[in-house]
Amino acid sequence: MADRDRAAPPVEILLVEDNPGDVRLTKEALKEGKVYNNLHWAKDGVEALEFLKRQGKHAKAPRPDIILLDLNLPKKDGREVLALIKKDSDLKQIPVVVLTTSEAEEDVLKSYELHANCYVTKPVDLEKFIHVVQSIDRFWLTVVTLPPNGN
Amino acid sequence: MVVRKGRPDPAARAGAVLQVLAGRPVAEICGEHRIGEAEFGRWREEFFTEHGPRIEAAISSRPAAGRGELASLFTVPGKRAETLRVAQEMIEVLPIPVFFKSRDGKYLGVNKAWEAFFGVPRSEFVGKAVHDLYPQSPAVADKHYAMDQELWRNPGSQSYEIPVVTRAGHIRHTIYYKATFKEADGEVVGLIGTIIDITQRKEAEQGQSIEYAITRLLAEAHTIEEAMPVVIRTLCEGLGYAYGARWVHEPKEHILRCVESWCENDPAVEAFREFSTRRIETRPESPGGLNRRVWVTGEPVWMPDVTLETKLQRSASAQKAGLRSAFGFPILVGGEFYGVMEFFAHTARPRDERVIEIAQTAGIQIGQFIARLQAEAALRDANDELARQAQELMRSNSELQQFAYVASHDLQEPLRMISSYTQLLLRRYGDHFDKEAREFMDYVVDGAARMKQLIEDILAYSRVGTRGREFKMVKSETALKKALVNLRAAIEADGATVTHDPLPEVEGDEVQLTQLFQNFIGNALKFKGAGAPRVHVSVAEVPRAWEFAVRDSGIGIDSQYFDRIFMVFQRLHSKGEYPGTGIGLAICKKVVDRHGGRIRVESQPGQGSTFFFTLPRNQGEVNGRS
Repeated sequence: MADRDRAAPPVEILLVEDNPGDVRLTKEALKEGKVYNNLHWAKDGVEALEFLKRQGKHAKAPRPDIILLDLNLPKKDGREVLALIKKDSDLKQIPVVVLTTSEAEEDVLKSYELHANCYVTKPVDLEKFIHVVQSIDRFWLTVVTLPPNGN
Repeated sequence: MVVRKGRPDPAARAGAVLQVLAGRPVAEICGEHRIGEAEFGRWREEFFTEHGPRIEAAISSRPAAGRGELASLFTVPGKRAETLRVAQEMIEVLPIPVFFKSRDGKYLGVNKAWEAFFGVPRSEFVGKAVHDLYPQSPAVADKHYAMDQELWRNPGSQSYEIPVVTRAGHIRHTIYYKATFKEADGEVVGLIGTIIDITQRKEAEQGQSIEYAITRLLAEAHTIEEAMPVVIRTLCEGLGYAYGARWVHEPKEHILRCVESWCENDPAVEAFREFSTRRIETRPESPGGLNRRVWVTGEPVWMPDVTLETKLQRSASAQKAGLRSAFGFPILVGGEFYGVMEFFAHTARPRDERVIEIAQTAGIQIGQFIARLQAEAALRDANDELARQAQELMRSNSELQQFAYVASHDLQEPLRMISSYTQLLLRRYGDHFDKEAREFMDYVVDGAARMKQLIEDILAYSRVGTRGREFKMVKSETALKKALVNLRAAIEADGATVTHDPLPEVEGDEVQLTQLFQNFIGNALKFKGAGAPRVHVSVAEVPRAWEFAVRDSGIGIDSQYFDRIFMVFQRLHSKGEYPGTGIGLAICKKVVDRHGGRIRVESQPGQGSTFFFTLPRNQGEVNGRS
């Protein structure tokens, strides 16, 4: 499949991540990627839900095409956010990529039980990290056909 | 007196023994009148003797010292007389007591065994009725009298059980057997009787029934306080004591305190009990009264007569309550003095070993009961402690799991930041760094990478315990093959040969067993000697377990390091020589520990190493698996 045309609307990505260092790394990785995107950042679970439901300062937020979700978050952790998204008839179609440091088996199992679309462990090595983010980018945003975005 | 025929007075029928008549004055036997009218010489007389009914005797008399003296006396030859003589002799030598009574209820005679049994000479029986013999025991006399009357009414035989008292004061349990005898004309003229002494049997029964009752009481009781009042009562009633009590030693204060007591329903004894049990006994310098003497000597103490006990402080009050004798014995628990049991009785009693033995047996039972309760209490405490420790262990295990998770996530995140941003710096600004700055940056990246490896290894180590799976039957060959698949690249790269014997099915965690083989073989590849590595896995049967051996052709290990290699992060080589954190064998040891086995190594530098580990053949027998 050909790269999306630059003229096409940008892909809306919601990154739910409490660590600004990781946010920045993700941004850098995406910057090196080929997909034209808007990266939105929610620093915790509560803000992620506000963004998705367009509440408060996120009243004008776009509906994301994909959600990158960390598991260990302040206020409302990633598992709860995942559960709420997948229970919501409107939001559940948005693919959720769990992107976390944890390699713990129970986190992997729990995430899939909550209908995560995939589970990815953040590599320590920068090269690998960039590779992973770009892989996600490439796979979910150019290979996979997603449901029509209701934006 | 021997009575001549025709004398109407039955009371006069008692007399001397036939055999001793010889040599006595004729007048005494036949009466003065006979001497006068009869010349000395021989004639026939008919007598009653204490040995039986009428006896026909020939008398020969001759003068002696101016008086007629019986020279000889013999029964007249004849069938009846001969029978009687034989019967008398037999009865006399019979080892069982025998007596005769006349129709009016008076003793005509008794045999030697009878005298011996009662400790009373026959002269005291002959001519007496039962009420003359037992003035102290009217109930016993009444019973005998009533039974005699019954026999006169219905001639024949009878038997009945009755306790009697000997001259020495001992109570004997007896069965009386009695039968009437008749004249030739069919008239019932007397009775003959014997007694069987059943005291031993009775006492054994009594001892057994007391022992049985106490055993049952103690078996059914949950506390000593619940059991003892009934136990004391059982001993009192069974052994004939009016008052009994248990005293317990209180080691802290060094005193004896009465904890339970029982007494018969008698105000005087009740008063004694109240007085007695309120007291507190302190240990004397020398043996004192009753329970203090038991305390000091550790032996049973018997007081036949409290009026003679000068050191018994309670002597006066006991006498006031009509109590005459006492005894006490120690209770030992696990060989240690625990307390005293004491008893008081109404009558003076000579030391009775049987009573002491029964009481001692009870004392041992009570001691064992208390020891059992103490052991149960100790067991309960130990169980509580164990439960508490188990809970503590669960808590610390879950804390460890929590720690493992924290290590996995929270420790790695800052590490990732260090590593990623150092790399990003190099990537973006590497061109602006001089050679030295690049070198420094390399160390940062390398340090972060090793830190990550350490964290991952310690996580893997902790997960052996916390993330282990349930044990199942596992083909150990399958676990080995999975390990070989995981190591395939390294095995091919090194041109290694891995062989194995047929391996058994074992009970365990397949993932961990795979890890075990993988670590051993991985080490064999890593620490290879000259030439292509060779590894052989074999197994041997040892008692209750399989012993696996993984032999390699590697560089070997000096024996001084045999213990160290199984510890966490213990390395024998620099990182430059061989990479790794030193977790592999520590994980192996932990896996084998979890399976209830043992791990060891045999090796010589340059000769390769053989790692041995056992796996129990029946995991059910292994305790403490985690």
